[in-house]
Amino acid sequence: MNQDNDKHEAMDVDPQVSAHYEKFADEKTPADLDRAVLHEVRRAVRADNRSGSFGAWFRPVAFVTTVGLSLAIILDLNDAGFFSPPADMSFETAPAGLVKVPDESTADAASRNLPQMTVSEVMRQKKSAAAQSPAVDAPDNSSNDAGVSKSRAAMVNEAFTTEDKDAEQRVEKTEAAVDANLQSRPGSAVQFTAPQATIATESHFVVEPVACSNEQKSAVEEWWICIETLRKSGLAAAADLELERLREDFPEFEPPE
Amino acid sequence: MGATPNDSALMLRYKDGDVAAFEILYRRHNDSLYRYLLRLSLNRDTAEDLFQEVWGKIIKARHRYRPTAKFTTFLYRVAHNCFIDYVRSNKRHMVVSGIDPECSPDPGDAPDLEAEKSLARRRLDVALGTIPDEQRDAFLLHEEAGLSIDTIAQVTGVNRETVKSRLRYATKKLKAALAEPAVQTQRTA
Repeated sequence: MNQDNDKHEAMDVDPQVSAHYEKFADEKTPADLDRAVLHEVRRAVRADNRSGSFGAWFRPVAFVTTVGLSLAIILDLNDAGFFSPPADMSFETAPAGLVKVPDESTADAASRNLPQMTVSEVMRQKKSAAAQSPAVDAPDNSSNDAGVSKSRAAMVNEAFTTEDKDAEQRVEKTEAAVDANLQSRPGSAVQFTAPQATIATESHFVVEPVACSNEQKSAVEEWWICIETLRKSGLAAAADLELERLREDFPEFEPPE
Repeated sequence: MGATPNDSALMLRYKDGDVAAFEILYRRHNDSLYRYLLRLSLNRDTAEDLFQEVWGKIIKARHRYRPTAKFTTFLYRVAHNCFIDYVRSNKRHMVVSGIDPECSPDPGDAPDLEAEKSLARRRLDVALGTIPDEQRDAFLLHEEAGLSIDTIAQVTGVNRETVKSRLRYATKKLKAALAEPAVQTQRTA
C-alpha cells in the first residue's frame, strides 16, 4: 500500500494505526469492476483508431477545401470589379468631353470639340492631331461620332505614349505662361475665352476656363451664361461652384428653364 | 530483462494506443484506489460507481496527459475531485452502509481468524466513519495511496500544515476508537 510513502513523515500518523490499517484493509477490486474498466480501455483505443484514420485525411481535405473555396470567392469578386479602385472624380479631366457628340444646331460646334483636359494633355493632343486624320480638327464631324471617339481615343493614347522632348518643353513653357498670366491678373481665375476658341496652332495654347471673370459676375445674366457654358464644356463642378456663388450674391435670381 | 516502466511511461504508451501498457498500470493501482474510494465514501455501491468514473476520466484524459507530476498524484487528484463532486451533487452525509455486508460474525462465538479479521475490519470502518471527511481523506491518501504530505496538500488543495493537522486528528481519533474494547457494532442506516 505505502509504495511511495515518505517514512520521514510517518510521525504524523501513529504507527499502530498504520499497522492496523495495513493489516485489515486488504480488499480487492471486484472482478466485474475490473472487466468493465478494461473493456472501456480497449474500446477507447478502438475508437481512437477509427477516428484517427478518419481524421488523418479529413482535416487536410477540409483545410484544402476551405482555402480553395475562399480563393474562388476572392477571384470571382475580383473579376466582378469588387476590389477595383473608384474612378477618378477630378473635374479637370472630363472624359465625357472627349466623346461628346457635337451639336450641329449651334454655331459652337467647335467648342464642343474642345478637349476637356489639362494644358499638358491639350499640347499632346495637338501634337498628335497634326499627325493624325483631319477628322479631329474638322468642326463638322458629327456624321461619324463613333469614328471621332475612336480617333480621339487613339490620339490620346498615342499622345500619352509618345515621348517628345519638344512637346514636353513646349508644355513647360505653356505652364510658365499660365502662371505668369495668373499673376498678372489677380482676383480672377483664368480668363474665360470665347467659345470660338479652338485648338490653336502650335505656337498658342488654350487655357480652359475654370471660373467666370469678374466682369461676367457683375451682371447676373452674363454670370448665368458663363455658368451654362462651363456646364456645357463638361466642367460641372466649376459650374456648380459658380452657381453657388451666384446665389450668394444674387439670392433672388431664378435660373431660367 | 528490462526494467518495468514507470507509471508515466505506461500512461504515455497507452496514449499512443498500447492497451497492454495501461493494463499494467491499472493492475498496479486498482486495488488501492478501490479501497481508498471504499473507505472514503463508506458505501460499496458508491465506491464502485466512483471507481468506474475515475478510470473513465483517466481514459478520456489520455490525449492530454503530460507527465508533469507523478501518476499517483494525477490519479488520486481525479479520485478526490470525483468524490467531492459526488458529495456536492448528493448533498447527504456518507454513512457506513455495509462495506462488508456478507461478513456478520457473531461476537458471542469463538472467533476464528477470518471472523476476527472481519471484525477488525469492521471496527476500522466504523472508526473511519466517525471522523470528518477531510480528515478521513487525508488519512486514506497517506495510508492507502502512500502520498506524502506535500502531495496530499496538492491533491486536496490545502496547505501543508492543514494536511498535517488533519492527519494528527484522524490518527488520534482512530487510535482511540481502535483502542476501545471490541463490542458489537451496530449498523447505522
